Amino acid sequence: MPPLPAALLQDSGLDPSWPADRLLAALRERRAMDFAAGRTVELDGWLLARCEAAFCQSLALESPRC
Amino acid sequence: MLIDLHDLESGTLIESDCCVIGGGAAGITLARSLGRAGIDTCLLESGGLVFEPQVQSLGDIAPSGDARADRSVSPCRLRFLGGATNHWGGWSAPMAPMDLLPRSWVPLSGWPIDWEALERWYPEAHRLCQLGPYGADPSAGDPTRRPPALLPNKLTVRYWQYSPPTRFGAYYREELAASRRVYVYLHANCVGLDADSSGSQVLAARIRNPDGREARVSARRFVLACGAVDNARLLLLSNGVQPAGLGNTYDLVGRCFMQHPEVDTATLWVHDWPALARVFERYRADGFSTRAGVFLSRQAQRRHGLLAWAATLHPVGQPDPDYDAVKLDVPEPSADDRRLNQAVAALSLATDGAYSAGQAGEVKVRSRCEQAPNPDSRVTLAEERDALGLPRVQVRWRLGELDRRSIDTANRILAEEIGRLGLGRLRLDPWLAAQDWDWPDNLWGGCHHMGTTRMAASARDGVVDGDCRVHGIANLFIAGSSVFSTGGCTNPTLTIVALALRLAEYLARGGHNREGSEQ
Repeated sequence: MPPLPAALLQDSGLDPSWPADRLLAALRERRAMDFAAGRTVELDGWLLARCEAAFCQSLALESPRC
Repeated sequence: MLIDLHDLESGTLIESDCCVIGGGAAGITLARSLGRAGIDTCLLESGGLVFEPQVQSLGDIAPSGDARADRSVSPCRLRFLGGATNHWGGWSAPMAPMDLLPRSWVPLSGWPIDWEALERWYPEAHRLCQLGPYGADPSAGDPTRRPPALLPNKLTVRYWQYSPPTRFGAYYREELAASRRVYVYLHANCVGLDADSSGSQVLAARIRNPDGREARVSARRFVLACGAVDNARLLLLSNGVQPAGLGNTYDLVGRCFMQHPEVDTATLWVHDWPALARVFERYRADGFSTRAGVFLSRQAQRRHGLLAWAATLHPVGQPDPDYDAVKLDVPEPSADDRRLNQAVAALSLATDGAYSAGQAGEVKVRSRCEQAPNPDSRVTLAEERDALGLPRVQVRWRLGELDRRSIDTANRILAEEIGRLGLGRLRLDPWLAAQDWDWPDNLWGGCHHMGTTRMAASARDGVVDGDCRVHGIANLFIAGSSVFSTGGCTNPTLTIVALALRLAEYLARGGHNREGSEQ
């Protein structure tokens, strides 16, 4: 995993070495918590959970083709 | 009995116990109920049994300079027996208890009657509108119709039930014609009410047809049931005794004109539209037709200080018969938009993990919002006159900051819930996503005209009291959505009929109703 997303995961209390299934489940939980708490980011009209927007941004920075 | 004013001698005096002015849903409901209670009732209808352009033009409004407002008023009213039910879409839902309560964040809110006094009449109103059972849960017995588990302190799901729709004029015409108590006068335009010298009692209604034939109706009680625009117009132009018009001591007649701002506000990108369509598209339940909507919960209204709001979902690119009459202006997405949409779709798929191949869909969110009462939103008499020589009206439909904030915040709350449940993602339409946005050109009011003779306990706050009697005038009552103190966000016809039934009981009991108020 590229360093930036990995760091983000660690900041969120997640372990980048977890299996993909476990990571995805944990991310879904974070996403649901963000939406439930109103922690959203508006991106050109799209309303996204803060955690998913952060990951998208970090992936985009690591890999411009994202 | 049906009588055409053409067939009467000019100058005829018609005498009746009760005179109902306006033959739409409210007027016909009243006339039927009063006739059945043994009360001689005269129902005055401006038009005949079919649409006539000459008669229709009597209701034309004078341009206000706001094309969007005029477009939301002019085509809505119909002048022939049955009134606006002749082009009614049939959408019906009761108001919610919260809609009638005083809310500190909504100016002039709070009806002088409680919800139970209104709710008692909904079952019968359902029957008159051919809606099927009142209070039914259409999803009962079919798990695939069960709504998603929205957080109840944010959003709830409620249902509309559809009338066939009942064209009140055609559907109840035979019954009215056969009645020994109800006399329906066609082509009988009310051109004014004559009051006694103190202005506290109406003595007669003056009627005229386009050929110049005139008559007068003398009655013990009068009920205006001409719709929110023309109820105000008739009071304002009945200024023989009180220069400002009847019931207008405090300059309230015509004010607080409200509609339901109705407009596309967002696009939902959902992972499995067929599953959601089972819940949110119109369907046939057990003996009735229905559609679910997402409503802002009362807790969310209170917490955020918002008006009532609801949304319906409509798949992009598919015809929706319920909106055939509404031309939506949905621009094609640009190439950049498409790329962004794909990126968000990929992102949400990755985290939602709920993708069903081929089931994804784009769905428009159509918002329907309550409008806060606003004294500057109003119906006034214009200089321009109609073919009968009466002043036309000008309608200034004004929306305010609370209306803006409510529709904005409600869509964001919907986005949160759609995302939380992993159903997809919401994108605000560009006009709503813009900073300092203005209402788009395709905004309309749903043809739901309300509030120009609002109900309030005090004459200083409203035109009619809780019994729908004009403050200060013993024998003048008003039926229809012009008496709504606030408008909720559901379609008004069902409530109009319920209130007409309630008023009919009050009049039939000689000024008493089962809630205990007395004349």
